[in-house]
Amino acid sequence: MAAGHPGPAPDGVPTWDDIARDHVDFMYSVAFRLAGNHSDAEDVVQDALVRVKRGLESYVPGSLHGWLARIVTNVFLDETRRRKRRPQTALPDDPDRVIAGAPGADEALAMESLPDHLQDALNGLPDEFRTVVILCDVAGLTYHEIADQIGVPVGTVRSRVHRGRTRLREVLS
Amino acid sequence: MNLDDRFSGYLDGELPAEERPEIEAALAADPELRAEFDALRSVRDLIRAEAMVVMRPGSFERIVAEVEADSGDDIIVVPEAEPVVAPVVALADRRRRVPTFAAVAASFAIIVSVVGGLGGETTLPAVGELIARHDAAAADMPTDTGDMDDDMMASMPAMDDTMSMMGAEVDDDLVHAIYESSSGSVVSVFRQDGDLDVDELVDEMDGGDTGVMDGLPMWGKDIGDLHVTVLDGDGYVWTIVSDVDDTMDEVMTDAMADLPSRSSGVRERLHDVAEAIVEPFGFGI
Repeated sequence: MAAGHPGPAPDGVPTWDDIARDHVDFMYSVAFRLAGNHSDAEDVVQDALVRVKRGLESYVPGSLHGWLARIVTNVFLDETRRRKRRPQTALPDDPDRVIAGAPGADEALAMESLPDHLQDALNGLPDEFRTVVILCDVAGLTYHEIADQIGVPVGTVRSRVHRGRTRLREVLS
Repeated sequence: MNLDDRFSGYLDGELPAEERPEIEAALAADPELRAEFDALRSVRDLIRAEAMVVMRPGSFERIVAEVEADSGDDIIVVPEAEPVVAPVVALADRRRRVPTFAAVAASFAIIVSVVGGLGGETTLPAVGELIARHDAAAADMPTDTGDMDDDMMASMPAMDDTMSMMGAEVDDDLVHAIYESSSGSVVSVFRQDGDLDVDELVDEMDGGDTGVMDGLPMWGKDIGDLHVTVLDGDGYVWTIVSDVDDTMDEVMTDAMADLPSRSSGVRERLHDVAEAIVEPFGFGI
């Protein structure tokens, strides 16, 4: 533990500072694997940390990473639904809206300097397979937790994990 | 289910105990299956080994600064830490004697007509059921809130002086907020996923008025003592049920102009109503 840091409260509930310092890498990894790029992953983590801050008082000590992964995933899924419902292309008479452009130079540089065959393979999976594989193998959720998270039966989770991994094997081999 | 469909479950220790011997016997007897299993395990191990991603330089500091700036103002309510599954929740713990919708919600099956087609999904709100939900909530509305303490008031979503949120429920894709005005009028706002075909609704409801409000296709009709307005916008179908006894324009003025919102447009007001439930109250977590 870093010198001078107070550490978790006696009741085992971490502070927001604890989470931001010690667990943001985990949150970011889940977010990045889901979103597939740095810019969106940063937005997801930012919104997730806001929800963590608001929800921390009611956190019941248990699987902290499971809780954080669920929040990150919900932020991502919420944003995905929002984008599907609200087209991002600009209207000619609406100067406040911005046309989605090419990735920024910094992101392009980052992506270029960090070749990630795993992410390419994950991006190639259908959404329903990619999400469960990431929740299982990146976030470490159980099949039941994943089923609760995305609202499908456990058997469906099991099947999707298997099919997702099978497709990844074909791509990565 | 095929045998190999269960490999990942076996690999992750997620297969029921009674199914494991069958997998183990098959793997021991069939080298090809064993090879396939080993390949899957390699993929899983690769994902787990390479899962971590490093943030870009400076990102962490910027995110923390923005979170601290964002959360320093109007944190309204603490959401549940655990995910809400099949969430049907009243705001009973937020405000004294607000309607308890769970029993009402459990007694109705929301019938939504979804018609597939090249243009996407068409959703026709089950107006009768929505009216029933509105009536049940309105009947349970408290008649006095005089002893509501300041903390309870402070925990409510931002609201203005004339229209107060009295309860909320979320049932699958249905979001329902009920408001009461200072004059005693009760207004329900329902949100469902989908796009509305106004003409279909006219057929379904044997008439009604159609038009456009703030750019949103609209249908409206007086049903009994209530006025029902349905709007199509942004991938949602909005249904507003009001006991305001007035013409449509006045109903919309009364029911919607006072809704708490940061924006002036009808579209934005409706979205803010739904987000006042879905986001601060933690249904999204």
